[in-house]
Amino acid sequence: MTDTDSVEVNRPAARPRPDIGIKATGLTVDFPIYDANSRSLRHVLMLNPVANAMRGASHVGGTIAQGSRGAMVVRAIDGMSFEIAKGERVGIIGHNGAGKTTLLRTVAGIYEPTGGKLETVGRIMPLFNLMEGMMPDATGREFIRIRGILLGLEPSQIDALTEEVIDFCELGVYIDMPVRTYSTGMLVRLAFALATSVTSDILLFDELIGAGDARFVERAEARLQTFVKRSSIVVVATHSAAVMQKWCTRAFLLDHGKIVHDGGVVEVLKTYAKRRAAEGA
Amino acid sequence: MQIILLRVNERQIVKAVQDIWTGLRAWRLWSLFGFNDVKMRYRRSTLGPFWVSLSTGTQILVMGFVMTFLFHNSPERYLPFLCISMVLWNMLVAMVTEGSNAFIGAADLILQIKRPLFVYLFQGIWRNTIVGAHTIIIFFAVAFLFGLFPGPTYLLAIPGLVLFMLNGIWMSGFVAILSTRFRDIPMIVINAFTVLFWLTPVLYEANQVSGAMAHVVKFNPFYHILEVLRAPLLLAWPTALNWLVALGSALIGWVMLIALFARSRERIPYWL
Repeated sequence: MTDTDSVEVNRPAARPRPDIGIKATGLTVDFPIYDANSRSLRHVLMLNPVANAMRGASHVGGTIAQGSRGAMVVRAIDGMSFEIAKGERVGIIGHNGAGKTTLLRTVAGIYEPTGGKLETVGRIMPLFNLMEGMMPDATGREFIRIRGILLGLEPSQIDALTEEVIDFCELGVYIDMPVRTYSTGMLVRLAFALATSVTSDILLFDELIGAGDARFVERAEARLQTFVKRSSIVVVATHSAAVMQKWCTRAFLLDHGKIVHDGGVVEVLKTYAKRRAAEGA
Repeated sequence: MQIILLRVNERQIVKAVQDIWTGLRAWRLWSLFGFNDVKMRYRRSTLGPFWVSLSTGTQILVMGFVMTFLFHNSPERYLPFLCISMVLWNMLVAMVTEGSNAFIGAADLILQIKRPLFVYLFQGIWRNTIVGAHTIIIFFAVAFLFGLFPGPTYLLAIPGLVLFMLNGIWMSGFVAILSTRFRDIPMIVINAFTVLFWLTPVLYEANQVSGAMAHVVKFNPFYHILEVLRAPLLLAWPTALNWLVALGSALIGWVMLIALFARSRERIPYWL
């Protein structure tokens, strides 16, 4: 694996590397539509005046357009340009289908841009699904090992992490029971402890999680805070104004795959509220 | 093929080869995934993966019994042959047909974090290697029963296995990529293999057929791919033609796979 893919265990990550950052210029991501009924979709687009007016008029979803070879494409990210420097915590807000998840996945390197340029420097850690790799018959301890392997850690690093995670999640004897016997709250505890036990330079979240009992939530917040502090850049997609105000130093308002407002959290939240009021949604 | 090759650039080829190589080196990942697949398939059953051994064993014994009567074959020669043929054929077919689901089935993981895509391909290969290892027990049991003990030809089984796997992997990868884009491919592949089963000397030996059929067999690469591994295990020497075709098929196959992968690698997550 390359340097950008690897992660490190609980060391104050972000050894000062001045060049850590994300830079996008004219970033574009087009999704092809290959469904068996894409023909009928085309049919709908041509015959239905509402659908025909979709270009720019719909409240949800990316812009539907004609691709280069005549196939339908959804333009999920439409020529975005931005620069995120070291130390910034960016919150991404916008309605469903505005492009939040796609943008995160593109920054994570999962989708390669179909247009424009994206440069990222630093180790990237996407935390989209905390339950990744969870197998119901594995015990909590096995799950920690599986996640460790999924994150590309060495066995020695996994051992170091195991004790720390078990300590934090306080599952007691349950740590050696199959994961399927866990309650949802217990699952979240374990997954959360695991996800926050490994740090890297650039953290990507798709919605921050908040579950578990009150005492755990408090401890979780404290842990998340130090976790976030250890990484140089945090990008989080969220619907919650509270999360934004608490965690972010900068905000992007996304609409139809474009950044319509890039600025301080308070102003962007204001714009978002205004637009929503205007849409009557 | 030439057209495919012409439409990839050097950067794409380098990235594709990098993906395959880093994917191979992430053996901890794919061996874990593959092993877990087997574990999940047989979870909480008493016999576990030995169910495959048992079912393949019964199937082969019954088939062998019927075929011996039908064609007046001698069981001591035919049964070990049938065993190894079926085991290897089933393994090859499983590697290729399950390859069609390699990326589609791993969609959740692929959209989660950037990893070499070939990890998910090797996962299937590893899964079927584990299953294959459980069924080859049957062959060794039958072979020893009829006095076919390991001999010097067994040494040739090692390069034979390498060629067999190399061929299996490129076919699996080829099918995996095409299936992700064109969802009709899995069905086409399954149908193709039912036809190939009869055109390949699996139930019969190559020297049992004559005339036009002999030519079909000779030009069927699957026969040679099978034979480079099967013959040594049956204490026979594969022919130079067997080696040549199996080697050629592996080489051409891998070139085609790399070209196809170079062209499609960055698009695969979009197709999921």
